[in-house]
Amino acid sequence: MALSSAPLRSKIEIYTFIKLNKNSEENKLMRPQATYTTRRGTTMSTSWSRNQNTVRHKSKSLGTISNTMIVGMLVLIVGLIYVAQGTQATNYDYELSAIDDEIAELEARKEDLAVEKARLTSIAATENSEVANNMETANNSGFVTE
Amino acid sequence: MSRNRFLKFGLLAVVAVIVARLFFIQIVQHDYWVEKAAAQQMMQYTLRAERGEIYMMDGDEPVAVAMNATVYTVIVDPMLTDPDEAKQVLTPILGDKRVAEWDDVFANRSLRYYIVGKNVERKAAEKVAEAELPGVWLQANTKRVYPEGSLAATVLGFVNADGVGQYGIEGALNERLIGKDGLLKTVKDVNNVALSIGDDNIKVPAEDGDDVVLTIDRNLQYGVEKILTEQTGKIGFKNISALVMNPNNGEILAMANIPGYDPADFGNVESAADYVNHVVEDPYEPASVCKTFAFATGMEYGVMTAETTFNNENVTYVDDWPIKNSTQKTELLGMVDMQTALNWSLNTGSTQVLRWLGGSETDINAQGRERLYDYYYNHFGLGQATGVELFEATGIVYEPHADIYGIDSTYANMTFGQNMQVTMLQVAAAFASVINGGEFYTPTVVKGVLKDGEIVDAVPRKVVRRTVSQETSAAMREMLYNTRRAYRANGADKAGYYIGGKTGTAQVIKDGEYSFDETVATYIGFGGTEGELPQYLIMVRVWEDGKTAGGEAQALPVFNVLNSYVQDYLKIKPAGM
Repeated sequence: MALSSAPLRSKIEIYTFIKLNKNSEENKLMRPQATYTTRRGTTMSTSWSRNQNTVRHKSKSLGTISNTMIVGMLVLIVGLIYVAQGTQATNYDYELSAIDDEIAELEARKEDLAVEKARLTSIAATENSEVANNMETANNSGFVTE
Repeated sequence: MSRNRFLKFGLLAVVAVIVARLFFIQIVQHDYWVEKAAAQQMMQYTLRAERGEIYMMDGDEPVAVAMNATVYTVIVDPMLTDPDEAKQVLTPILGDKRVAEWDDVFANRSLRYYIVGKNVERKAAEKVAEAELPGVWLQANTKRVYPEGSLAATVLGFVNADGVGQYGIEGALNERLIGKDGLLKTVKDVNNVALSIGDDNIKVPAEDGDDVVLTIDRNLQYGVEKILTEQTGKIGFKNISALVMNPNNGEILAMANIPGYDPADFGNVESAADYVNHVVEDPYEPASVCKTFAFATGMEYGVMTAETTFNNENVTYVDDWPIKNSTQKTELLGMVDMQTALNWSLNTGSTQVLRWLGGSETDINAQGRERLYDYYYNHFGLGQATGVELFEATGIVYEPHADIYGIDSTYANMTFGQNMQVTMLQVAAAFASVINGGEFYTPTVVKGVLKDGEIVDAVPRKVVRRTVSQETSAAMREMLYNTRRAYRANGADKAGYYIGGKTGTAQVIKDGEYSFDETVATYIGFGGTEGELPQYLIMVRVWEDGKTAGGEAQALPVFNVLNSYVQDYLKIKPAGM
């Protein structure tokens, strides 16, 4: 099989094909007459022992405008994602700020309640309470033996 | 020049100007504009650390006695606020928190800021906010509050308008109480909301101050202050200070000074002297209570026991100065033992101890002075700061070779607690060591730090040094017990308790000389179950400018009342119960 029949094959297929067949009798016989096309597209007609897998294969490429548009679209998408993330982060910041304010408010209330409790349970307040005023004073107190 | 070339050059020139301007802004003025942008886009807050609270013990439970509360300042913009509406709505809400007269507030309507209420509490502030008066707004502040009022004011101190602790624990432990402020530096939006975007955001959290728990028992402190207040009326003296201490670990259970003040209203005092904690900040001459230390020193050197006798003539001469006994009883003349000398507080007896310390019957010499100084200063710690967690004075105890006039008579005076300046706490800490078996503890008012409801970081109570041997301690306990029983307690002590103590009456130096018109009275004593080591120590000091207070007449009765109260409060049982 001649190498010139390879263009429709993929690069891997060609490489595999050559690897498998480079030592076959057919190949050995054909070697002096072989022609091949270099990567630059020049047709060579000489004996070859190296670069047996060298082959030209054309890639289909998009035009300049298409490339620019695709890049532009990608940048736009990334930008939109960034903005969306940033907006979401800002929303979280607002939520966080509101929660912080709420925590501060609740802590201030908690402190106020603690102060109020301390005032209500202070000794002076307890001693002057109605309950204390209605208590009777013990005239005599002491220890008893068990 | 063709039109095209002209346009090209023109365009080039414009571009060159723009480039030059951009270069100037972005390179030359780079820092300036970055700073300006940061000022607009960044916000920087100091995250205020909360001042630690102060607790006292209530039995085994810590209770807050110094706390923080949010209060509000009410501000009016006279230009925007309607005077009649403001007066009508705010006057009843602000009550005594209003700090400005309405006529003054609206006298100049061009002012945009006038404080009309200070320290307004939350409920009132909420009413102000609900009223939605135009040009009226609130500013939140933190205020130190003392829910127990004036209780232990001189121990607690107060926090001034700048948030700095002054006097007492608030002042001495200010650094521990204030904590460490944090920092928030972040990008903000137009609403001043901190945003998490940005590379230079910094958040250093604030570290709140320690919640300090005191050894002082709230109930005991209240009871002691109440008794002292009552006693000022009974004995007719303005100033009384007292201290209740555990002699077996140095913990101070109560420390009181009458008169006191309200730390939440610290500006409302007669003078700055009201802020002084006389127990630790005011050195004085404790007088004959120091005989305890002189006699203990004599016992340590083996020059005396309670039974050792000397010839009492009710006066003795040192450096040609007469040293007289306050009691001139003729029945005390002649040979008397040291127990009698302590019972009657004979200055001649304590002076004789100083002579014996020098190995002499008749003279005071360098050896005697050195020995007394070694015990007074090095063993008992008199004239030195005790190390308590409060501002304290050191006082003066003259060195044995001090270059002063009449060093021998000075030392003779020191045996009965004059010619030296010490604090009540120094005397109490030394006295505790004499009666507890000879172990000196650094007195303390701090039990530890409150974290998650538990008291942590407690400093373990350790014996700092031995002051006297156990034998000397036991002998001194017995002498002090006998002294109290001899006649001075007047039957005040209940059976089954072991209570001892010593009086002291010192002349006060006025205009460089000892005055006969003013004296300070002291009583120091211990108590506990008979047959056991003392469980508490009480020291009382009574004085008033221009008045003569006596240890027996004024300080002893106060001690007796306190002693009964402390005994009951601590639930100390009599022997056999």
